[in-house]
Amino acid sequence: MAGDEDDDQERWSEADAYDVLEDHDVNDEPSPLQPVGPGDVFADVELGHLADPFVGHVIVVGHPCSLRRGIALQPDLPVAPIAPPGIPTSQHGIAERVLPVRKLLPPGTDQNHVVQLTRTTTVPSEALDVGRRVATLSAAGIVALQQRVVGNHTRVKVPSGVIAAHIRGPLAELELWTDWRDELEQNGRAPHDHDDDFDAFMASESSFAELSWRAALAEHEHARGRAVAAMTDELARLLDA
Amino acid sequence: MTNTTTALPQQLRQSPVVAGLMEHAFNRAAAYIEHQGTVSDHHVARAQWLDDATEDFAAVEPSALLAELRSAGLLWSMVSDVVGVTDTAVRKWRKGAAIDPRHHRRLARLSALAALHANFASPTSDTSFAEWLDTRIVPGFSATPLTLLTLNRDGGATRLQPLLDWMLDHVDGEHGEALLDRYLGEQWRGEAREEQRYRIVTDSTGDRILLMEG
Repeated sequence: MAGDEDDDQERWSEADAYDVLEDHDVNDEPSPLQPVGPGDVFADVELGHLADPFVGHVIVVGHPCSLRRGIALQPDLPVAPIAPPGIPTSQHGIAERVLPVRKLLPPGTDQNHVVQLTRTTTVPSEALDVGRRVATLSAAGIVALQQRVVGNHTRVKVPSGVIAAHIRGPLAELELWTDWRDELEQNGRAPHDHDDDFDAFMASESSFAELSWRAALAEHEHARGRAVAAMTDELARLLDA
Repeated sequence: MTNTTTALPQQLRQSPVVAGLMEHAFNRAAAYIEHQGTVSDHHVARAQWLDDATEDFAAVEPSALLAELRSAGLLWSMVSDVVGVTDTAVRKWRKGAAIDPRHHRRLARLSALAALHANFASPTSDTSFAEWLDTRIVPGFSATPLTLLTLNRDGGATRLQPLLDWMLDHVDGEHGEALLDRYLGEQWRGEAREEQRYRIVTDSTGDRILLMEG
């Protein structure tokens, strides 16, 4: 009977809600030394090929593993427009076609916005100039974004803890890379001149069996501390040379 | 009227076995009370230590605190999670930018926790504190001590005591599941069941992918 089938359906509950962005998930003063990554927001990007052409703020929605090969950015990067209007608060944890960002994005707005995930497209990576990056997301913010991206494409809600565990390694690498450049700049060096050395460090053998640091960060959740120490030593050697 | 199923024969009521049983039951209760008192005294002393250390560190420049935390293996994002700011803010403090008192106190509390770990947890390396922050409390769920600290940014030392027992590996501390019940409520168990439906595996091309079970 139809009624019995209905009774067998599991119902949505609060525990099934998608994660939402919190205030401190948005960094509106990102370091220019931070490599482009998921959750980065760029101003004045033209998406003229959309059915309804768009010019404005976009957010990088790609998975951190898919945006780069080694440290080189892919030629095309997936982005989605950030645009008004917002949606009712009661829908913030349910909506799958959009990620509501309230007035957090773009920085300085006085209108509620959403990330329009159904209008996801790609742009050449050169179109995403770091000089026009106006915000980045914290790791928790990126998890919330990725969870909604997967939900939009598949209608599967992956638990945030699973996504966080999966992207922890690549996000740690991006952060270490930023620190690497920052230290070089602090020591009077050109910050981007030793990116290849950073790549070599990430590919070098870690203290986790025969894994590289890149692989260790991906496979071992507690590898971050040792990677920080190893990178600090490596930088010291580089600066002394 | 005597209940025939529970009444003891007279000779058993007066036996040495019964006397021993009663003595040990009394000793157990007394030891428990004494143990509870000892735990309470230890918590009071440790809270005092933590508060004193926090006060001391709150008088230290943020850049110096951050240098120490960095040498203990903490990423700036770990610091920013615990303090409740962006990592850009942390990078600015590192270079001497002003910090508001609330964030300075949270940073000092994190430094005090690192010092507690270094002095009382028998660390095996300089980065043991960072590794402890990133280690799951129970194998089948993603929450770590870092997760619990971000949920208790302004929690007093008393609120942190169960986590500190966990950090210092006291034999009478709560086990992992009880610790999560205390800080996250019992709903974490449902979240853990959801997480356990997924596995992260490395495929034949070396990429790490999610597999959904069942």
